[in-house]
Amino acid sequence: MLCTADLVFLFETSRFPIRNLLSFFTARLMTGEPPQLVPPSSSWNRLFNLCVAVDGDGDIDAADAVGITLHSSSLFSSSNFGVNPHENDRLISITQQIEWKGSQSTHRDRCAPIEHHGPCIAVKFYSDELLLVGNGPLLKVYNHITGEVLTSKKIFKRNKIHGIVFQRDTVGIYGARSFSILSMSQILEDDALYEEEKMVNDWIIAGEFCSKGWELYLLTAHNVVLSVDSYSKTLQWERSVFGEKSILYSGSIKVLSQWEVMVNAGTVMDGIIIWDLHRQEVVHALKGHEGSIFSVQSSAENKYIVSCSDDRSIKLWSAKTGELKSTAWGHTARIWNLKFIGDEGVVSVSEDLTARTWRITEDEQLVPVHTYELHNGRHIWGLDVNAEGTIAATGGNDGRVRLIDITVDKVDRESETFTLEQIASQCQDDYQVQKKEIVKGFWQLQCGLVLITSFGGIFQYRDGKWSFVAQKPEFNNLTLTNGFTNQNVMTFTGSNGHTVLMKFDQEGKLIKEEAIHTPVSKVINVLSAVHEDDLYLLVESPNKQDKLTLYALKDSLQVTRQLQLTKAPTFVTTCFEVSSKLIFMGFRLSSLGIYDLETGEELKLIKKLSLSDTITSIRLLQETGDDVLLAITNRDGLYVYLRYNKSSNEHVFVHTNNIRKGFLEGSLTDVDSDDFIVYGFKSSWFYIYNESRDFEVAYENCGGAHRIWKLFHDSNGYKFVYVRDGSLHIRNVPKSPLPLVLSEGTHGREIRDIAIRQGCEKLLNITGAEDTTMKLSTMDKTTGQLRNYWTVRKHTSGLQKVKFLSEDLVASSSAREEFFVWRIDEQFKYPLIALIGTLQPSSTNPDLRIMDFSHKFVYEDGSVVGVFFVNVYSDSTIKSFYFNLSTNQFTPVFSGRYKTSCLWDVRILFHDDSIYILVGGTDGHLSVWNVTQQVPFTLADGQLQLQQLGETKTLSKWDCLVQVHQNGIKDLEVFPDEQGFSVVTAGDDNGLGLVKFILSDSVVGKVVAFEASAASSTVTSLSKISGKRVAAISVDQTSRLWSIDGDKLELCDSLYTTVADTGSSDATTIGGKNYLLVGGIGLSLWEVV
Amino acid sequence: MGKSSKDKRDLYYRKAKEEGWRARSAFKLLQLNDQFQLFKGVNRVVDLCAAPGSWSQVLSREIFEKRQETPTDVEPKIVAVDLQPMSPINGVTTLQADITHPMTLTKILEIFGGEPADFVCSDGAPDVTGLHDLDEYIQAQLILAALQLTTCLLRPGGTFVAKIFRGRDIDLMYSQLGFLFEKVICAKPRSSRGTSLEAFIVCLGYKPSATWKPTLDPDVSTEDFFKGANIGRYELREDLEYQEEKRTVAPFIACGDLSSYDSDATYTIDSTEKRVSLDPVQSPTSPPYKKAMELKRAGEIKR
Repeated sequence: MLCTADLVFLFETSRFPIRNLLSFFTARLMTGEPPQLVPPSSSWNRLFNLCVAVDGDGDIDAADAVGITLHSSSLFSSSNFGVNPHENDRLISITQQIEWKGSQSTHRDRCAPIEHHGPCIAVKFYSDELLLVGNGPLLKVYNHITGEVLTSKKIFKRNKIHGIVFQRDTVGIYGARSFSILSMSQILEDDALYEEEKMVNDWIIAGEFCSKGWELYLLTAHNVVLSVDSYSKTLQWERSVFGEKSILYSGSIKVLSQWEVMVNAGTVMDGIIIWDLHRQEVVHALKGHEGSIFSVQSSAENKYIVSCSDDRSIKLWSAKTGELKSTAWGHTARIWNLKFIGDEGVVSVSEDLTARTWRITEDEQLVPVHTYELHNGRHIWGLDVNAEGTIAATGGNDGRVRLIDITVDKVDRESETFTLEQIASQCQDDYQVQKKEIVKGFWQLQCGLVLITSFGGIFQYRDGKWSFVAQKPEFNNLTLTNGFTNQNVMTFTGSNGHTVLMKFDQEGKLIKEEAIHTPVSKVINVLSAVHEDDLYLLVESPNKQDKLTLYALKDSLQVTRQLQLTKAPTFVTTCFEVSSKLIFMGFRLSSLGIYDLETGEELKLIKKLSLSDTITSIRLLQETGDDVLLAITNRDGLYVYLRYNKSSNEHVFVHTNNIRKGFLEGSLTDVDSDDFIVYGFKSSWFYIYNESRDFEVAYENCGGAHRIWKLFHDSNGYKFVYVRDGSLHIRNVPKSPLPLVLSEGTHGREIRDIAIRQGCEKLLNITGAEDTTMKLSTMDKTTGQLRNYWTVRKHTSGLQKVKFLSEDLVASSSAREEFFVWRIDEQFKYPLIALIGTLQPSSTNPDLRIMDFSHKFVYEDGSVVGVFFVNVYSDSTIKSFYFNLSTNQFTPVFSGRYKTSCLWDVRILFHDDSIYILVGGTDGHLSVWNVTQQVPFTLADGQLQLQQLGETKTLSKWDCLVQVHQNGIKDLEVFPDEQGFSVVTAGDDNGLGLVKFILSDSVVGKVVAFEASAASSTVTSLSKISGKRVAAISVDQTSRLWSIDGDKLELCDSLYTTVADTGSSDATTIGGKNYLLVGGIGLSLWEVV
Repeated sequence: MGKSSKDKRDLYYRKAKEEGWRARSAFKLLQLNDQFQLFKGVNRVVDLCAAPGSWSQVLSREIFEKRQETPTDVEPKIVAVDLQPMSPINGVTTLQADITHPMTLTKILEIFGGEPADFVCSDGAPDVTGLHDLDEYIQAQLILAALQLTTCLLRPGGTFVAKIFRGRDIDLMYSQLGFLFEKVICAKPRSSRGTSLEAFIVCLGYKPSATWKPTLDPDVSTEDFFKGANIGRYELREDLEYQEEKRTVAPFIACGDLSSYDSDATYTIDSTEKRVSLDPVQSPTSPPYKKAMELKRAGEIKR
């Protein structure tokens, strides 16, 4: 309905606390005049920002607000406005959707950003609760104790935040040539802060307030310091040292007092110049580094200066004398940032994705303490250490913000080491440790850690104390130790088949002991598993004639059942798991056996899950009736989720992936987050890795695999127990009280393609990046919050394309001719993704890239049976395949060649009963081929019907060739019409083309419109938006919205994006709203109206 | 250019080695010349950021050596400047010098006998950090440094060519160069990969400012150098107010014949042809992180 009111006012909604009446908006609706603004701050932008903040269901949304800013007339879509009339009868509360009369056209065609995930260069601890984070032009204030984001404000119009400084409650923010001086309360409470943006004439390298906070010093890239008055924000003076105006890559300002300020300037070629700001004199010229200086910092008490350069070393200098004290090495790539921990230590962050802590020894040497692997892709930029020197925050190119507990002796405190002598000496009983006696086995029970020695001595460790439990001389040498943690039950089995079961109470007292004997010639392996109240013990003999013996026990130690299982020949059992109906066993040679728990009968043997190695763990994740879902790990790094149905005896891999590095020993589910955790060894390290979120939880230098070890996990954290040199080592990884991941982030490398699943409520998307991985994630439509589920590691080269084929099918391509088909399964609590098809490479040329592909489904008797793919390659070839969805096999359909130039785009198109392919490439031409005769399908009612697959056909010459661009066509979007189709093309030549193809017996194509300067740089990606529009993304970091009106291209809106290397996009419509994802170095979510 | 497996895939890379160019970028200048006739009637040339010297090689072959075949009254003079040392090239005077230093200008003018240059080119690019905005700023600084020297020695009507990366602020550069030249074109040779942001700015017809006299001074930053040049650069103001600088889109021209090799394409080398790994024309220089690499190889740097 049309609103009859002439005055509307806006409130912030309940999601944002109502602070005050913010703005009035008057509209003379009945006359059709544009509305007028009567704001408390007379700025349009202020209203814009306010409206952006007003969000939620049915409220005024961001896009409408942009309309107000740009066109000063707009309509509001609003229901349930919920405004208190404030006893002013001229104000009304709006409960129905309203439209401004005569202004409908201006409501369309606008882009509004929702959220951005990308490089985080600046992090700064403000207080013991607040952390300031720069994310592109946005400043986010986190409560780093709770992990909550208190506010997110746009500080700069275009520039990224590179640094944050503060003095009491005055905050200075700088980036590129921009800076801003704001009070903390302004940051927390005010909007349109980018109105406060100020500018200097050169790149700002560093900033610092004077000791009183009156002035902000800004060091520029030409080694000049500008002083800005904090109140008036005007320039006071400029200072520099004569002859030292060389370009700086880094620097810092150390305020010692109101009169003494040191400028640490890190030059490109001349080392470090330390100069006195007020005297304008060089104090030290620190020489010794090679290459550009990337960071230089003064210690808290100004005792030291630390620096790093392109030579990858860290140098510690005396601040007083300029003498080089120490040079430290460790990072495997460039070091970007350094921070002191008081005067005692240093933290460094690097391109190599690690943060390292270093200690300054008494003889002033810099020695490594700990290494943290924190981020994804490449580069950690942002770094700060809190005032207490206990927490560091890092910001990565991946947009992730991490906290680390850097307390210097943290790892020492979390580690315990005991020799047997130390253990025995702590016990009351007089236990004599024998010569050559070593720790043979252990298990963590709820009541404590229980261990057995090679001479049968059993001890318990509880509350930091050891006590002697028993001695079982029969268990000398080969003892197989198992346990049931929650039931406080230990089992020890000797090679003769003798098993002792011990039950402890919660206080660690041994309360029951039982024995069982397994009549086999020899025991080499005993494994345990728990299902609900039942405890299972599996005893294995190396003798092929002996069967596997399975015991079912209760925690009263009573054996309830005994089962004999026939084991598959030549296999050795490596792990096992039990469900309520089934037994699962993992074997060497990567095989899995499934047995009936009732009868012991072998139901299924799945051979060769992976090419080699051993299944290292099987875990039951879900059981519904006859259906089970298992997580299985293989030592070579492969892990799978397997769904098995007992009644049909069918199995399917619903998730397949490889870990990032090393050997995979097992998986677990994090009790707090439900995240999928894997662990294993890499060279001499043991690692615990969060696969869902893609970060390392902890690592331990344990000397490598091939030793007795076990990982335990409960709500308190992780405990890694191992034996090294005969001693027992316990490494605790307690659950951190800090939220270690403040922001999840995305790929730390260029996102090459984005695919959003269409037609779904959820914004489920897959991104394919230069880092060779794909990430499966969801984004919250309102807040833009990112939730990553998996980082899929299958491609071995940077991704070219990734696309959804349907709701649950995905395909991806890259160099090395890699082409994969994936299936998404959403029956579990988080989505799973499994590889189902692999196209065999055709040539030995490893550089042959599959640049793009297009697909159409193929039907038989009304149902989908396969997929018709056309792929284009970097050597100008075009190849088509039929992918059979029941056998997951590819059959070649046709192949051909364009010319010799690289092809970039392909689409399969239907018109009438003919099938066409449209191809674009680096030569700027579009070619169209009628392939109806080349395919074993017929086209009826827009569906391909499968005919007989025959020999591979050869593609003849194209039917039509049109030059559109001077060089490469980066992307295209097709709009079918009655005569054929129109194609919008994105050019490397900055142009946008509109080509019309008329299809009949022949194919005629013509460029009907061409915008030569559609962008100031390469137009890289196009996405269709409802209403015959396309969003065009270009490397000039602009997203432009074009509408296609007949033979015309019309620019509707143009908005800057902070995503650099802007190269990919995809769009979808959910609930009538258009969402656009823009990718490059980072990922931004937009709404397009 | 090392002796690597890149041989197989990059046709220009292989061709460069075969034809004796120090880098594949030689083809970029050749293709730019095909399009713009940059070398026509040119007698005094300056190649900035010249190392390892592939552009100087092109200048030597196309200007110096070709003129030798048909001698004219003027002997062409080519000066190559870089901070790094360069192996000698026929007909090219190499200067190991800083392009921002006035001494460099004096030396070049000495070589030219006091005459201004006809053509100045620069294929220089800084090491990239991965921070896109910083990298773009540094690249712009490099172009400005080259432009500083150029404004001091280019004859009116002369040509300036420099490597650019078409990032978010390249339109500022187009706009500012537009004040100093008749025509500013963004050119992309086919030998430059379509997947790379690299392109070349071709500035034709230098028109020196009547009111501004460029003077090189080692203590003057590029920002201060262009003060008063009225090329639309933001100049420091006391109120430090934010200002949008003027942006222009330069016309784009793809150069090199469509039939020339495509740098993005994969070419299959005839398998009957013997696959020989050619030695690099010039060995790579030792990077600053050489010692770190040695320590890593020796197992001193782990994890």
